[in-house]
Amino acid sequence: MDPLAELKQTFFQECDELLGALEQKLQALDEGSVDSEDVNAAFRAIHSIKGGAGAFGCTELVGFAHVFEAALDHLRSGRVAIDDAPFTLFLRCSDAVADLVAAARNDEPATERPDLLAALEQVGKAPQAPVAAPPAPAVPAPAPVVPAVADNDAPIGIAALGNLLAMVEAKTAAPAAATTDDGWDDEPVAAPEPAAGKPGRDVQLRIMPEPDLFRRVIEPRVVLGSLPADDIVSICCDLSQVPPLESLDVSDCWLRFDVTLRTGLSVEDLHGRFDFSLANEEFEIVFAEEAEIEAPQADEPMAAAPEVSSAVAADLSAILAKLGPSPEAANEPDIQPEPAPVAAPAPVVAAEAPVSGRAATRAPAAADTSARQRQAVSVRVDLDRIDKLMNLVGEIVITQSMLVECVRSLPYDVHAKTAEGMLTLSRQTRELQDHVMAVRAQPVKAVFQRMPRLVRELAQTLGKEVRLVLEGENTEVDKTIIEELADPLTHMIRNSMDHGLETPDERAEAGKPREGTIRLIAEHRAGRIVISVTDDGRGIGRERLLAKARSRGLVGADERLQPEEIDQLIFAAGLSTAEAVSDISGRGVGMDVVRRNVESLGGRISVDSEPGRGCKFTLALPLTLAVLEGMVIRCGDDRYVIPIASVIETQHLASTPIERLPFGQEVLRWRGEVTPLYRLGDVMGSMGKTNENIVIIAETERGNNVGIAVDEIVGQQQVVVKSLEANYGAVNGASAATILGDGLVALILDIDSMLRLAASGNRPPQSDLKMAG
Amino acid sequence: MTLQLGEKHFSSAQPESAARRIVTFKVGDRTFGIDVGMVREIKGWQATTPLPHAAPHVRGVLNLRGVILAVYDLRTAIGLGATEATATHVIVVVDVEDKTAGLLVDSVSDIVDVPVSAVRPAPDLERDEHGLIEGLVLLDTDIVALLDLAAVIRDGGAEAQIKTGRAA
Repeated sequence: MDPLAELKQTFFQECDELLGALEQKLQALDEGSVDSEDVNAAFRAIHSIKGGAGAFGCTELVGFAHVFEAALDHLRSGRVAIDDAPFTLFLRCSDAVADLVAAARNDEPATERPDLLAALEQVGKAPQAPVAAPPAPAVPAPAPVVPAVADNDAPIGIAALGNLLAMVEAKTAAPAAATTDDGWDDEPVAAPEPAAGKPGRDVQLRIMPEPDLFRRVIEPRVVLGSLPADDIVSICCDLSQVPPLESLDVSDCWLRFDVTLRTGLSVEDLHGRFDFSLANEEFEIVFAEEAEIEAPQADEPMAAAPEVSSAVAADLSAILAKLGPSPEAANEPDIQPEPAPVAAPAPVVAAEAPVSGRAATRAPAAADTSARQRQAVSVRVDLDRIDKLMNLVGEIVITQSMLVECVRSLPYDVHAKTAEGMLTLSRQTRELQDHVMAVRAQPVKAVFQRMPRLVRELAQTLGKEVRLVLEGENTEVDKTIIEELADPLTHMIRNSMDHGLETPDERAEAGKPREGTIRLIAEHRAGRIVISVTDDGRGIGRERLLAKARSRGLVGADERLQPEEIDQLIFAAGLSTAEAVSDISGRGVGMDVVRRNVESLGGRISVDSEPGRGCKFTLALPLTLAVLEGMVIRCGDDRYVIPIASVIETQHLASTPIERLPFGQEVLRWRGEVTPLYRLGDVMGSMGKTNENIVIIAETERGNNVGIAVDEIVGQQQVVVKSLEANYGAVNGASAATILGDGLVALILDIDSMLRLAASGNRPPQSDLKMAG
Repeated sequence: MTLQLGEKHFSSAQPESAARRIVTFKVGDRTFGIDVGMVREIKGWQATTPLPHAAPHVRGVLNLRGVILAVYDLRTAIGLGATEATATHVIVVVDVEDKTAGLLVDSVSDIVDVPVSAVRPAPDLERDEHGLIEGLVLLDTDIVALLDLAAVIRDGGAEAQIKTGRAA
């Protein structure tokens, strides 16, 4: 992959995360938690998407994101009160951005959303604007210049400052961009009224990005856009560094910017704004009247470029010199990286001024480190590498148990010496395995955050009012499971929305709030992840379900079922009680498919329903598919692993009466039910002589019980799941294999596949005999 | 007894492009050969775990440093019955298409360079119904039958599975 495509891939990954964050924040705001930090976070998310999209020339995305950003900016700046903000619109817009990102990712043409754009542009043009400017055409400009938004007062100049390419094109097409081209010339943009007249300090910013700026996927617009638009007095682009065209590499950035701000922001705040785009040496901040008026401000950490702080420090020392000596404060600057000499009542000796100067220059270093630490919180790692690590750890676990067995056979005195070490090794390898598993673990958020959109769209289609409540999004589960969660969850939510929840009118009649609630809750319980989908709808219509089941012959005409048993019919194949078959669900392929998929993963799904009150689906899945808790059994010379999830009970075969049906099928009575019995050695063709002592009662995917006769239960342990298909092919009767402590391979049995194997002509020999006799 | 045969020792792109470097091994008194590039390593016999209802020449699966691969008994594949595997028997670990597999043979004999011109097409042997032999090479002492590894393995894997009624 070429580097640009790789960067682009990273950008799209980031987009997914940013979109998730955006949606979450908007959701939070919509639900009434008024927090300006949420607004800022939402703004930042869309802003970052726009920035990256600009860098990769995703014109449609930039265009839309820009209008969206502008609308959010009204909120951020307080021009539109949070309470009045159209969050539903914003949420739909975030969906649209997701679509645009997906289109850009797949190189498909993007769908234009003029309706949303128009609606967004109305945001902030509320009554207080006396003469609303005519809405600018939201058609993206030919170059990747962001569309100009006519009523967007301050940031016109900023918005127009695209990348170099855009500038060159804009210059050649000057008349076309007449409304926005003030910024191109080397003269300052006329200061918008509010900025010039505002209280605050005048700050000179000199932005001197390294030539690799574009390659870092940052563009000047992003840098300048991170400044508060209202505070900008002027922006001046210095083109003097740009080399002659013939030697110009367009991927180098030679632009310099001089920005005049009138702002209430501190140096630290300004630094914070450039944190993600520029290195410390790429900009200078000069406070014009710093020393005279703003002296008390000096207690802010001088996080600015060193020369600035030392200049300030010199001024400070001059002031301090007048204030007189203070011996005990001599060492303080060393201890406190943020000296507060002016605010502190104890004055500092003039001689200490150089020290405080040094301390001041040390301050940015400290701020720098903490910024770097903050960035290092998460690392992107290729999944492949983690898988390799996981494999290796699996091997270490096997080697370790091999060693344990070797050591056991040594003479006692040697054994005793090594035993403790072996014990520690066991513990450490287990811990290592847990940690590697933890690296693979991801919060279910990755799946959960797709659901609000599903609910919104469905609510619109179905004409229902629905509130989705998410809980436990940070519950972690292995990557392998995350991938498998999306489908069942989607089905469950669709089912709840379509069949569970009533229409607003019906709800009102039943005395419920018009808006239905669906709760999606994830939690860890007993080494599994349990996810429940609860709605407060009408519950399962038992009569109808039962009638349908009878008409399909699933339930005998005179069979009596408990209410709970009727509810479970919802998982039966081909049953759907929706009155109208809709696009959403109702084709009867929903819940039975969900159940089958969930059970093939070693999970369980159940339903609890209370008529009129609602319905709750509970999904329990193992935390990983890479490791499995298994029962190791022996049959003849061979050992097998049965997933514990399939095992219901084990008992001695001798104590269980066995009968034979015609055609030789053996059955046993277990808890009053006739349960078929299979002899594992016969089904799987085990080597050596078998002597079945034990019967394992196991459950199939369909919930039927079967007895499996084996020779011996060797033990119960966690086994690492290894694919048989990678180097061989599917094996009947087994889902995968694992490696036991002695290094030998054992098959992991798949009960259903085993039964199919038993039924497919490989009949147990004694059955054949029986038939012959 | 593990002998690593990495490509770095025997570069498959030989400058004298008209030669093939071949690993020869024995089953009974017959000599077989495969291109050295396909051989990943050679290791001593190691117990395998049998697979249910697999083709007769599939001895089972074994664990090679955490990877599970199937071992094929070449003696069975050529119709001479099952190998009575002992510690002196050898598993040749090969890369075939995108899979790794083990080939159980009696012993590994040599690595020889043969000119491409010395490789003759396999005579249309009636007994080789599965087309396991890709060609023959005449050496001083004996005839080396070059194996079509994909054919050896094909009959053990997917096809046998279909026969045992996977569709059921």
